[in-house]
Amino acid sequence: MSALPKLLASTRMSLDKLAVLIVDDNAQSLDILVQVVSGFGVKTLVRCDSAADAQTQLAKAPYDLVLTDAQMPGMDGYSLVQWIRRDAMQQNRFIPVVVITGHTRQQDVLRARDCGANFTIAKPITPKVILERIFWIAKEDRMFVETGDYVGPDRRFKREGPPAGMKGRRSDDLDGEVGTATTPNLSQDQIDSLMKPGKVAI
Amino acid sequence: MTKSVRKFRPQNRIRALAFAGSGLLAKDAIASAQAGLETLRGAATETVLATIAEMERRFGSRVADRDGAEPMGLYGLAATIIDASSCLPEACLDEAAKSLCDLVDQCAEAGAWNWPAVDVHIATLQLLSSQTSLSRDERKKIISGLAAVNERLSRR
Repeated sequence: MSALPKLLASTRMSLDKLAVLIVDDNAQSLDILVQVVSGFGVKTLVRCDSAADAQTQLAKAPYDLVLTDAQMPGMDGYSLVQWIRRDAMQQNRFIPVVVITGHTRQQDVLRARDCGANFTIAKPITPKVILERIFWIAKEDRMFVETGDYVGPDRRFKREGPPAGMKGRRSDDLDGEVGTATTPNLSQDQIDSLMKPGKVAI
Repeated sequence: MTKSVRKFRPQNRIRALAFAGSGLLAKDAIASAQAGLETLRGAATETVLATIAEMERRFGSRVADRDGAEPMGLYGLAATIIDASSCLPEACLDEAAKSLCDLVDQCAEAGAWNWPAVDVHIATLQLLSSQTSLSRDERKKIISGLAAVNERLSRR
């Protein structure tokens, strides 16, 4: 299949054939996502107000895309992605998943990456950013990796050094048990630079 | 010990189904989604106003003995405003709410609230939500003031 060009205003798309699952415990956030995705022409749209509800839906039918909130009571979005990658029905194990979060500290973005998500989007969501990420997924040629402790898109990145203004990757991560933020929220561009795939020189 | 690693390329159904060169123009899809968001503007405005009122009630300057307040409570309220801001992009409320999240993080890290800074953030959210005549530039100036507050605190 030939490479897709850049997403342009004149790019044509037929998202009406996709089956999309949207997960968020906040009813208004669900409404917002549903309005955006249905505005793109998606007809098969299932909304879930919890990860448990999403698990039930994912056990019933195949989907083409999952958009999930990161922070939810009970099972959170990251754990849902891990469950999808490990334990969902075969047709859904490798579907694209986008994690949407208002907490875009670096460690949260890395957690999204390490749970097997394809991309992370910072709230507030905009139609343009959501459509761009769907297009990025369509363009993706990343391999999937399945190991003992990770299942998901290849996480290797371009060797570009640490992001501007930072001393180095993971150098300021806290222990999981501590969990308190020490870095400010990242912008969408910074998130993309962390999540975007690339080849690593070995 | 060597762990087995399987690498493979799953079928890209989105590419095959949605980007085969026909259908809606991207600009029309975005405009349609934006129009859908407009239908939620009233509800989003109500959510923002109610959330700011709750911030004031639980964390505002009139609350007696607020030092014991739980940081995640205020963080959660700010996150609600960030969510609703998708429908109110011109108001810059999300930027003020994110600044408040940064402040809460700083306070949690320091183990102590900085109430004057919290009060400034809540007052700013009230201002941005109530003064609809503020220009984009004026809003940006207000937001940069909040960033300066957080920056000053982070240097302490």
